[in-house]
Amino acid sequence: MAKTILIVDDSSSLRTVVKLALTRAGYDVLEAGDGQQGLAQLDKAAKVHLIVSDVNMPVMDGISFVKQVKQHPRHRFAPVVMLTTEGQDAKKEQGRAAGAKAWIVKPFNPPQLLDAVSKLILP
Amino acid sequence: MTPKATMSFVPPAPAPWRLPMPGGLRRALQRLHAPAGAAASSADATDVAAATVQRLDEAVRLWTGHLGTAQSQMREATDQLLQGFMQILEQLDRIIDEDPAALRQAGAAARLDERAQMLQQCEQQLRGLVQGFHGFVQSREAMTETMRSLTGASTGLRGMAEDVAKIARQTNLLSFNAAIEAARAGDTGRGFAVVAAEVRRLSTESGETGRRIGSQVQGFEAKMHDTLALATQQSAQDTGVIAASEATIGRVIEQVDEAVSQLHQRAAELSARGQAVREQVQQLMVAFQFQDRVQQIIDQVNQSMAGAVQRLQQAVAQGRAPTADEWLALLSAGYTTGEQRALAAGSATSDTPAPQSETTFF
Repeated sequence: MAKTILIVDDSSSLRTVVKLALTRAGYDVLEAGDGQQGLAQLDKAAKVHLIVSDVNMPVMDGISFVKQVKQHPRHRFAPVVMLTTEGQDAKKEQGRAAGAKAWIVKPFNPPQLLDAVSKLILP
Repeated sequence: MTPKATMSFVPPAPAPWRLPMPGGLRRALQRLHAPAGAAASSADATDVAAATVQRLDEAVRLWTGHLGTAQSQMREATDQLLQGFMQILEQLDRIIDEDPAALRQAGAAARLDERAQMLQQCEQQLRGLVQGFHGFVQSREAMTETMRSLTGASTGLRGMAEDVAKIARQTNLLSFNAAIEAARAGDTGRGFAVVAAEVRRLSTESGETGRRIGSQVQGFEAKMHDTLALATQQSAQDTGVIAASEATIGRVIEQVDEAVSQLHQRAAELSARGQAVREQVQQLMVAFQFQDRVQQIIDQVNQSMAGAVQRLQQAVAQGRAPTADEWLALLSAGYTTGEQRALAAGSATSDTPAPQSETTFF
């Protein structure tokens, strides 16, 4: 059975590209346009094996979203990969402190994302 | 990991905040920077500065509107491009048979390899058949050789039969002599005469049996010769048929070899083309992400322009221009990309490409 990955990004084109990379590798994908929508998706989903999240988003940013995920009753162990244009060490440290497992600076190369996903995804 | 994208894509530069300012604004700011006494002495100067900032505010709103239109069009166009790209990709997947489901199964190249393996198995079976033919020929030759040796043995039997007849003749002659000697002996030789007659009868029967054996052996020998000749003839025919079959099988094997070779070549070509398409797809997927990057840069420029006008309005109202540091901090607030920061710091130009991506694991 295919594993499920949640993509959280306010850019529809970026979500499409990430979705394309993941579905071609055999993963099922859920989408959300910001952190709040991401939490709503998590509430609905039975099992999410990994989350790919942007940082700069409206309504709820990626760092706040990760903090919320880490307190989620069902999905607190889902690894989070931050996928963002931000490359500053200070921002990365915020992501690490919030509970993210990896940080990829956009634009990403599909094998780069798939490599991180395969290393971190839950069994 | 380093992106392999080789496509040339130059991200747009952040709004060049060092662009020449409109003349009215420059004059207004110059007045703001002038000694307090001189500025305060001219109420008109403040009015001019306020009006100029107001014009600038109007201009910024207009520019923001244009940028919004451009962003919206770019977003729609990118979405359309992506949809078209995905459709093309779907078609390509069908052509090279590597859609996500098929990726986990056998691709076209793998199936060609399977066919090549099947043909190789056919070739091995045909070669096995040829080996079987050779075995058959050898077996037939061994049988013929056995028949030849049997024919030689029958010649020996015929000689033995002749020997039997010869012994019978000599025994018969001996019995005659015994009868003569028995007659000479008179009454005392009468019993011996009976024995001599019996020996003559037996020798006559032995001679007859020897002749019959000789006749039988001769008949057998003739049949053996005929059979041997027939076997030799059939063996020669079999050898010819097998040689012809072997030649046909050889040609079939050559054709199979050629077909296998072509299939391998085709599989390699398909695999190479599939790899090339995959790499191009990856490059395009990298290129498509720049829309998001450009969007974020334009969003920041919009916010920065609005913030700058607001700050200038405050400056005019307060009669104090922002310092260079304050101004730089205001303009660089909300930067999200490395090239924005590098450009603001003066360490990059507007055509500096976006940095290559990297992954940091925590």
